Amino acid sequence: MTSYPVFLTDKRTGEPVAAELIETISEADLRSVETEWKPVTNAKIRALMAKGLSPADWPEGWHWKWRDKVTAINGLLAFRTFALRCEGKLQGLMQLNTARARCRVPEQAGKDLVYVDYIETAPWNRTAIVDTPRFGGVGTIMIRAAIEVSRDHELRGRIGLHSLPSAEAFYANVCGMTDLGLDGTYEGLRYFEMTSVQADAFSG
Amino acid sequence: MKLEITREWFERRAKQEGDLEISAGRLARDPTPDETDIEPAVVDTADPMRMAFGSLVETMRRRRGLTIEKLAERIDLDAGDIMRIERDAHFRPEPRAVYRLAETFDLPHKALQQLSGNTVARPGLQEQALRFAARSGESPQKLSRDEQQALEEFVAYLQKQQG
Amino acid sequence: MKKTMTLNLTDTEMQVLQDLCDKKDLSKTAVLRQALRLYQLVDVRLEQGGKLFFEDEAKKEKAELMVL
Repeated sequence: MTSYPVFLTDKRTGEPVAAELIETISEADLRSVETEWKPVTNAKIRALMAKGLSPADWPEGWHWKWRDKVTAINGLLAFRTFALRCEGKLQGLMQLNTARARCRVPEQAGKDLVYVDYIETAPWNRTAIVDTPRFGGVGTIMIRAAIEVSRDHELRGRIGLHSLPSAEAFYANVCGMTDLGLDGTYEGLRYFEMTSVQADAFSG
Repeated sequence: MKLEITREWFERRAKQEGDLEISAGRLARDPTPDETDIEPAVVDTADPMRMAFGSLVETMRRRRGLTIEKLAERIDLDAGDIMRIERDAHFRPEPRAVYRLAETFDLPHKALQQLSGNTVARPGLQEQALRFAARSGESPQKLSRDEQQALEEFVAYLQKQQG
Repeated sequence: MKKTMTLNLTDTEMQVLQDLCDKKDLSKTAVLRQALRLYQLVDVRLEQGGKLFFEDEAKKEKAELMVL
């Protein structure tokens, strides 16, 4: 187990606090999802149901099953997973795939990249679920980690991902990734790619 | 892998991230070891009922003043499974566990199996289940009067449905 | 922790490896590590009963790739 010291923003004070990025999602992380994340998400879903809203209006990703995702890739070198913990609680999860996709942006077309299979932050960090989020910066840390994995594989920071509709602004504006439009081959989600130049700009 | 993040870099970047959503990945389904195994579309409609099942087990347990451990002991199930039954809408409990729960709480077996997702629900059950789930909270204290009432109404409906 | 080993390749194999390195802009080590990740992934998926296809959308052709 490798652990990296990182930061998250404590939304109560606005100040960075020490956090830990751990390589490989553990059984304890999966239990955190089931016993700590789910009740928060479910409470929100109950509130939305009480207002008569259907699953289409529920917070995106509510049905993701991290246990199944992690079980499906157990022992495969092509996948790397990360858990972000702060103040004893699981704050975010990410799954990377280094053998799935090749670049689509013309200047690096055909070269390999690290594909981000999944990124999720804890429900108490999402304004879609709670009124006052607890920690910020999970996306920033995860994308930086994905870039470093890409560099580790000599892929020069090239990464690609399909954003959920509500997160497009983050990948386009904050990460500065290239927007390659809605992808008909992948549930109509918008595909974003980061070139090595963009990766240098983001991590610099 | 080298990951050296400075406080200065993080503060600058995290400020831009703000409260933005960050989820990425497949929207409608989860991958399985066999990628071609697409989950059936009924998943979306079944899940709210499964949540109502979790709420029902939780409120019944609390009404009886049982801890998760005590209930687990009584029906010979792992405490972790009880927790997942109550809180994880994706966890599909074994029919045997549902049967023991029905027995313990004096609830109709068939209706409970439908609610748990083990068997196909009769018409009308989903609507009642949603109404019940929406009215039950998650506070660990005693049941509120409204929760108590919601529970009684729903149990009465379940019993009538079997009659 | 990384371990070092010597690899024996024929001239042709070495040429293919060098071509991949040039094309992908990777070192020989990086190409071989990527190849190992892919080979393991394919092998595990096949053992789980999956099939590996190459699909040509333009020609509407689908060919099963044999992996020994």
